[in-house]
Amino acid sequence: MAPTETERQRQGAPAKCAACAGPMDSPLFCDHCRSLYPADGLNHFELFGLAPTYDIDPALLRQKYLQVSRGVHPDYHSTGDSSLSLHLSAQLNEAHRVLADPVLRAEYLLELVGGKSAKEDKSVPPEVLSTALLLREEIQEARTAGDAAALESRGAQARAVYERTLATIAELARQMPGDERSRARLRTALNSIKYHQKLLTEL
Amino acid sequence: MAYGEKIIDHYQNPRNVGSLDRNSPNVGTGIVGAPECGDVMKLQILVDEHDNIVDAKFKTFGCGSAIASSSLATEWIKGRPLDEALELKNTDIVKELALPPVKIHCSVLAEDAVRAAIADLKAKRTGRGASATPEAATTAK
Repeated sequence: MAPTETERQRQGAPAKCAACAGPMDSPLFCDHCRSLYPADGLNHFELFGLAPTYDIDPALLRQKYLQVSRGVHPDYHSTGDSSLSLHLSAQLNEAHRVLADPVLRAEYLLELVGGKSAKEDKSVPPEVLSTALLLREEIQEARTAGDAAALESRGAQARAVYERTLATIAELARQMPGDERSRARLRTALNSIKYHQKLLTEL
Repeated sequence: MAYGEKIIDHYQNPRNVGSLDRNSPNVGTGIVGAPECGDVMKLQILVDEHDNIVDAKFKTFGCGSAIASSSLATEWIKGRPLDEALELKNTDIVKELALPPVKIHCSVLAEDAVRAAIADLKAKRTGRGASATPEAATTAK
Protein backbone atom coordinates (compact mmCIF):
# COMPACT_ATOMS: atom_id res chain seq x y z
CA MET A 1 0.00 0.00 0.00
CA ALA A 2 2.69 2.53 0.87
CA PRO A 3 4.90 1.65 -2.12
CA THR A 4 1.93 2.19 -4.38
CA GLU A 5 1.64 5.64 -2.95
CA THR A 6 5.33 6.23 -3.61
CA GLU A 7 4.90 5.14 -7.18
CA ARG A 8 1.95 7.44 -7.62
CA GLN A 9 4.05 10.32 -6.33
CA ARG A 10 6.84 9.52 -8.73
CA GLN A 11 4.41 9.47 -11.60
CA GLY A 12 3.27 12.92 -10.56
CA ALA A 13 -0.16 11.69 -9.52
CA PRO A 14 -1.84 13.63 -6.71
CA ALA A 15 -0.86 11.89 -3.48
CA LYS A 16 -3.54 10.54 -1.25
CA CYS A 17 -3.15 8.91 2.11
CA ALA A 18 -3.82 5.19 1.83
CA ALA A 19 -5.37 5.19 5.28
CA CYS A 20 -7.71 8.19 5.26
CA ALA A 21 -7.64 9.16 1.57
CA GLY A 22 -6.74 12.72 2.58
CA PRO A 23 -4.28 14.73 0.44
CA MET A 24 -0.60 14.42 1.34
CA ASP A 25 1.94 17.22 1.02
CA SER A 26 4.86 15.01 1.97
CA PRO A 27 5.28 11.45 0.70
CA LEU A 28 6.28 10.44 4.23
CA PHE A 29 3.34 11.37 6.40
CA CYS A 30 -0.30 12.30 6.33
CA ASP A 31 -1.13 15.54 8.10
CA HIS A 32 -4.71 14.49 8.70
CA CYS A 33 -4.55 10.97 10.16
CA ARG A 34 -0.81 11.04 10.96
CA SER A 35 -0.06 7.86 9.06
CA LEU A 36 3.58 7.31 8.19
CA TYR A 37 4.99 5.92 4.96
CA PRO A 38 8.44 4.42 4.38
CA ALA A 39 10.81 6.39 2.16
CA ASP A 40 11.58 3.41 -0.07
CA GLY A 41 13.01 4.48 -3.39
CA LEU A 42 12.91 8.18 -2.62
CA ASN A 43 16.13 10.09 -3.09
CA HIS A 44 17.37 12.83 -0.75
CA PHE A 45 15.77 15.59 -2.79
CA GLU A 46 12.43 13.82 -3.01
CA LEU A 47 12.31 13.38 0.77
CA PHE A 48 12.06 17.17 1.02
CA GLY A 49 10.01 17.66 -2.11
CA LEU A 50 12.88 19.49 -3.80
CA ALA A 51 13.97 19.34 -7.43
CA PRO A 52 17.26 17.45 -7.90
CA THR A 53 19.44 20.41 -8.78
CA TYR A 54 22.73 21.71 -7.46
CA ASP A 55 21.46 25.20 -6.72
CA ILE A 56 19.14 24.77 -3.81
CA ASP A 57 18.04 27.55 -1.51
CA PRO A 58 19.64 26.80 1.88
CA ALA A 59 16.79 28.53 3.71
CA LEU A 60 14.20 26.48 1.84
CA LEU A 61 16.10 23.25 2.50
CA ARG A 62 16.25 24.11 6.19
CA GLN A 63 12.54 24.93 6.26
CA LYS A 64 11.59 21.67 4.49
CA TYR A 65 13.90 19.70 6.74
CA LEU A 66 12.27 21.07 9.88
CA GLN A 67 8.79 20.70 8.46
CA VAL A 68 9.16 17.08 7.32
CA SER A 69 11.16 16.10 10.40
CA ARG A 70 8.39 17.41 12.59
CA GLY A 71 5.86 15.47 10.54
CA VAL A 72 7.60 12.15 11.11
CA HIS A 73 8.81 12.90 14.64
CA PRO A 74 8.25 10.12 17.23
CA ASP A 75 6.53 12.58 19.58
CA TYR A 76 4.01 13.42 16.91
CA HIS A 77 3.36 9.74 16.26
CA SER A 78 3.48 8.39 19.77
CA THR A 79 0.61 6.01 19.12
CA GLY A 80 1.83 4.86 15.74
CA ASP A 81 4.85 3.05 14.41
CA SER A 82 7.73 4.44 16.43
CA SER A 83 10.41 2.36 14.72
CA LEU A 84 9.40 3.68 11.29
CA SER A 85 9.31 7.16 12.75
CA LEU A 86 12.85 6.78 14.09
CA HIS A 87 14.05 5.29 10.84
CA LEU A 88 12.59 8.14 8.80
CA SER A 89 14.08 10.72 11.14
CA ALA A 90 17.51 9.19 10.65
CA GLN A 91 17.05 9.20 6.88
CA LEU A 92 16.02 12.84 6.94
CA ASN A 93 19.04 13.79 9.03
CA GLU A 94 21.37 12.05 6.62
CA ALA A 95 19.67 13.58 3.57
CA HIS A 96 19.89 17.04 5.11
CA ARG A 97 23.56 16.57 6.00
CA VAL A 98 24.37 15.66 2.39
CA LEU A 99 22.24 18.30 0.69
CA ALA A 100 23.35 21.14 2.96
CA ASP A 101 27.01 20.56 2.08
CA PRO A 102 28.09 21.94 -1.32
CA VAL A 103 30.67 19.19 -1.89
CA LEU A 104 28.54 16.27 -0.66
CA ARG A 105 25.58 17.60 -2.66
CA ALA A 106 27.63 17.54 -5.88
CA GLU A 107 28.85 14.04 -5.02
CA TYR A 108 25.27 12.95 -4.49
CA LEU A 109 24.08 14.41 -7.80
CA LEU A 110 26.83 12.44 -9.49
CA GLU A 111 25.67 9.33 -7.65
CA LEU A 112 22.09 9.89 -8.86
CA VAL A 113 23.33 10.04 -12.44
CA GLY A 114 24.94 6.65 -11.90
CA GLY A 115 28.19 5.34 -13.29
CA LYS A 116 31.54 5.63 -11.59
CA SER A 117 31.71 7.59 -8.36
CA ALA A 118 34.52 9.97 -7.52
CA LYS A 119 35.74 7.50 -4.89
CA GLU A 120 35.99 4.68 -7.40
CA ASP A 121 37.61 6.92 -9.95
CA LYS A 122 40.31 8.23 -7.58
CA SER A 123 41.76 10.39 -10.36
CA VAL A 124 43.56 13.50 -9.25
CA PRO A 125 45.81 15.69 -11.39
CA PRO A 126 49.44 15.20 -10.26
CA GLU A 127 49.82 18.94 -9.74
CA VAL A 128 47.02 18.89 -7.16
CA LEU A 129 49.00 16.39 -5.10
CA SER A 130 52.28 18.25 -5.42
CA THR A 131 50.64 21.58 -4.57
CA ALA A 132 48.95 20.02 -1.54
CA LEU A 133 52.25 18.51 -0.45
CA LEU A 134 54.20 21.72 -0.95
CA LEU A 135 51.65 23.85 0.88
CA ARG A 136 51.61 21.45 3.79
CA GLU A 137 55.39 21.43 3.95
CA GLU A 138 55.45 25.21 3.92
CA ILE A 139 52.72 25.47 6.53
CA GLN A 140 54.65 23.08 8.77
CA GLU A 141 57.86 25.04 8.29
CA ALA A 142 56.14 28.35 8.98
CA ARG A 143 54.60 26.91 12.12
CA THR A 144 57.91 25.48 13.36
CA ALA A 145 59.61 28.80 12.69
CA GLY A 146 56.77 30.69 14.36
CA ASP A 147 56.41 32.79 11.21
CA ALA A 148 52.87 34.12 11.53
CA ALA A 149 53.01 36.14 8.30
CA ALA A 150 54.09 33.15 6.23
CA LEU A 151 51.45 31.01 7.89
CA GLU A 152 48.81 33.59 7.09
CA SER A 153 49.83 33.86 3.44
CA ARG A 154 49.92 30.05 2.96
CA GLY A 155 46.55 29.84 4.64
CA ALA A 156 45.14 32.40 2.21
CA GLN A 157 46.65 30.44 -0.66
CA ALA A 158 45.07 27.22 0.57
CA ARG A 159 41.67 28.88 0.95
CA ALA A 160 41.94 30.35 -2.57
CA VAL A 161 42.68 26.92 -4.06
CA TYR A 162 39.73 25.47 -2.14
CA GLU A 163 37.35 28.20 -3.32
CA ARG A 164 38.50 27.81 -6.91
CA THR A 165 37.92 24.06 -6.84
CA LEU A 166 34.53 24.51 -5.19
CA ALA A 167 33.54 26.93 -7.98
CA THR A 168 34.54 24.31 -10.57
CA ILE A 169 32.50 21.69 -8.72
CA ALA A 170 29.45 23.97 -8.66
CA GLU A 171 29.78 24.75 -12.35
CA LEU A 172 30.04 21.07 -13.30
CA ALA A 173 27.39 19.87 -10.86
CA ARG A 174 24.91 22.32 -12.41
CA GLN A 175 25.43 20.54 -15.72
CA MET A 176 24.53 17.12 -14.35
CA PRO A 177 23.75 14.62 -15.83
CA GLY A 178 25.99 16.20 -18.48
CA ASP A 179 28.21 14.05 -20.68
CA GLU A 180 30.89 11.57 -19.64
CA ARG A 181 33.57 14.22 -20.03
CA SER A 182 31.92 16.65 -17.63
CA ARG A 183 31.25 13.82 -15.19
CA ALA A 184 34.92 12.81 -15.33
CA ARG A 185 35.90 16.43 -14.65
CA LEU A 186 33.49 16.56 -11.72
CA ARG A 187 34.95 13.36 -10.26
CA THR A 188 38.45 14.78 -10.53
CA ALA A 189 37.41 18.05 -8.90
CA LEU A 190 35.61 16.20 -6.09
CA ASN A 191 38.72 14.15 -5.41
CA SER A 192 40.95 17.22 -5.56
CA ILE A 193 38.91 19.17 -3.04
CA LYS A 194 39.42 16.44 -0.41
CA TYR A 195 43.08 17.40 -0.31
CA HIS A 196 42.25 21.10 -0.06
CA GLN A 197 39.75 20.42 2.72
CA LYS A 198 42.33 18.44 4.65
CA LEU A 199 44.82 21.24 4.15
CA LEU A 200 42.41 23.77 5.62
CA THR A 201 41.90 21.66 8.72
CA GLU A 202 45.66 21.88 9.33
CA LEU A 203 45.56 25.65 9.61
CA MET B 1 41.18 -1.84 18.74
CA ALA B 2 44.52 -0.91 20.20
CA TYR B 3 47.45 -0.29 17.91
CA GLY B 4 50.43 -2.61 18.01
CA GLU B 5 53.88 -1.72 19.29
CA LYS B 6 55.52 -1.62 15.87
CA ILE B 7 53.11 0.84 14.39
CA ILE B 8 53.48 3.14 17.38
CA ASP B 9 57.24 2.87 17.19
CA HIS B 10 57.28 3.83 13.50
CA TYR B 11 54.84 6.64 14.16
CA GLN B 12 56.75 8.08 17.08
CA ASN B 13 60.21 7.48 15.62
CA PRO B 14 59.66 7.53 11.88
CA ARG B 15 62.69 6.39 9.90
CA ASN B 16 64.01 8.23 6.88
CA VAL B 17 61.95 11.38 7.09
CA GLY B 18 63.18 14.03 4.70
CA SER B 19 63.79 14.90 1.08
CA LEU B 20 66.24 14.05 -1.66
CA ASP B 21 67.14 16.28 -4.60
CA ARG B 22 64.20 15.90 -6.96
CA ASN B 23 66.24 17.03 -9.93
CA SER B 24 69.03 14.50 -9.53
CA PRO B 25 69.02 11.93 -12.36
CA ASN B 26 69.48 9.18 -9.77
CA VAL B 27 66.52 10.19 -7.64
CA GLY B 28 63.00 8.98 -8.25
CA THR B 29 60.10 10.82 -6.62
CA GLY B 30 56.64 9.42 -6.05
CA ILE B 31 53.81 11.60 -4.81
CA VAL B 32 50.54 9.82 -4.08
CA GLY B 33 47.41 10.56 -2.16
CA ALA B 34 44.21 9.07 -0.83
CA PRO B 35 41.18 11.19 -1.58
CA GLU B 36 39.15 9.32 1.07
CA CYS B 37 41.17 10.99 3.80
CA GLY B 38 43.10 13.73 2.00
CA ASP B 39 46.44 12.23 3.03
CA VAL B 40 49.47 12.97 0.87
CA MET B 41 52.67 10.95 0.75
CA LYS B 42 55.99 11.70 -0.94
CA LEU B 43 58.55 8.93 -1.20
CA GLN B 44 61.95 9.32 -2.84
CA ILE B 45 64.66 6.85 -3.73
CA LEU B 46 68.32 7.33 -4.61
CA VAL B 47 70.00 4.62 -6.66
CA ASP B 48 73.65 3.88 -7.37
CA GLU B 49 75.11 2.86 -10.74
CA HIS B 50 74.00 -0.75 -10.17
CA ASP B 51 70.38 0.27 -9.59
CA ASN B 52 70.57 -0.47 -5.92
CA ILE B 53 68.52 1.78 -3.70
CA VAL B 54 71.11 3.41 -1.48
CA ASP B 55 68.78 5.89 0.20
CA ALA B 56 65.08 6.45 0.64
CA LYS B 57 63.24 9.35 2.21
CA PHE B 58 59.61 10.15 2.80
CA LYS B 59 57.30 12.88 3.91
CA THR B 60 53.76 11.94 4.80
CA PHE B 61 50.98 14.27 5.78
CA GLY B 62 48.40 11.97 7.16
CA CYS B 63 47.40 9.69 9.96
CA GLY B 64 49.73 7.62 12.14
CA SER B 65 49.18 4.49 10.06
CA ALA B 66 50.12 6.30 6.86
CA ILE B 67 53.27 7.65 8.49
CA ALA B 68 54.19 4.24 9.91
CA SER B 69 53.50 2.53 6.56
CA SER B 70 55.75 4.87 4.62
CA SER B 71 58.42 4.74 7.30
CA LEU B 72 58.47 0.95 7.13
CA ALA B 73 58.45 0.99 3.31
CA THR B 74 61.57 3.18 3.15
CA GLU B 75 63.28 0.95 5.67
CA TRP B 76 62.54 -2.14 3.62
CA ILE B 77 63.56 -0.88 0.21
CA LYS B 78 66.83 0.69 1.33
CA GLY B 79 69.77 -1.42 0.17
CA ARG B 80 67.66 -3.43 -2.26
CA PRO B 81 67.86 -3.56 -6.03
CA LEU B 82 65.12 -1.66 -7.85
CA ASP B 83 63.25 -4.72 -9.10
CA GLU B 84 63.21 -6.25 -5.65
CA ALA B 85 61.72 -3.04 -4.27
CA LEU B 86 58.91 -3.44 -6.79
CA GLU B 87 57.98 -6.69 -5.09
CA LEU B 88 57.03 -4.87 -1.92
CA LYS B 89 53.40 -5.64 -1.23
CA ASN B 90 51.01 -3.66 0.88
CA THR B 91 49.97 -6.90 2.57
CA ASP B 92 53.53 -7.23 3.93
CA ILE B 93 53.12 -3.84 5.57
CA VAL B 94 49.70 -4.77 6.94
CA LYS B 95 51.17 -7.90 8.47
CA GLU B 96 54.28 -6.28 9.91
CA LEU B 97 52.44 -3.34 11.45
CA ALA B 98 49.28 -5.32 12.27
CA LEU B 99 47.17 -2.61 10.65
CA PRO B 100 43.45 -2.74 11.40
CA PRO B 101 41.18 -3.22 8.36
CA VAL B 102 40.15 0.46 8.20
CA LYS B 103 43.82 1.40 7.80
CA ILE B 104 44.72 -0.99 5.01
CA HIS B 105 44.48 1.83 2.48
CA CYS B 106 47.47 3.45 4.22
CA SER B 107 49.62 0.48 3.30
CA VAL B 108 48.30 0.61 -0.27
CA LEU B 109 49.36 4.24 -0.36
CA ALA B 110 52.90 3.30 0.70
CA GLU B 111 53.11 0.59 -1.96
CA ASP B 112 51.81 3.03 -4.58
CA ALA B 113 54.39 5.59 -3.47
CA VAL B 114 57.26 3.12 -3.93
CA ARG B 115 55.97 2.21 -7.39
CA ALA B 116 55.50 5.84 -8.35
CA ALA B 117 59.06 6.68 -7.26
CA ILE B 118 60.48 3.82 -9.32
CA ALA B 119 58.33 4.78 -12.30
CA ASP B 120 59.56 8.37 -12.02
CA LEU B 121 63.16 7.21 -12.00
CA LYS B 122 62.60 5.02 -15.05
CA ALA B 123 60.85 7.85 -16.86
CA LYS B 124 63.89 10.03 -16.20
CA ARG B 125 66.12 7.30 -17.61
CA THR B 126 63.95 6.87 -20.69
CA GLY B 127 64.05 10.60 -21.26
CA ARG B 128 67.85 10.64 -21.17
CA GLY B 129 68.21 7.32 -22.95
CA ALA B 130 66.38 8.64 -25.97
CA SER B 131 69.14 11.14 -26.64
CA ALA B 132 72.18 9.26 -25.34
CA THR B 133 71.99 5.48 -25.08
CA PRO B 134 68.66 4.10 -26.30
CA GLU B 135 69.48 0.56 -25.15
CA ALA B 136 70.09 1.79 -21.59
CA ALA B 137 66.48 2.85 -21.46
CA THR B 138 65.20 -0.60 -22.27
CA THR B 139 67.59 -2.42 -19.97
CA ALA B 140 66.62 -0.11 -17.14
CA LYS B 141 63.22 -1.82 -17.04
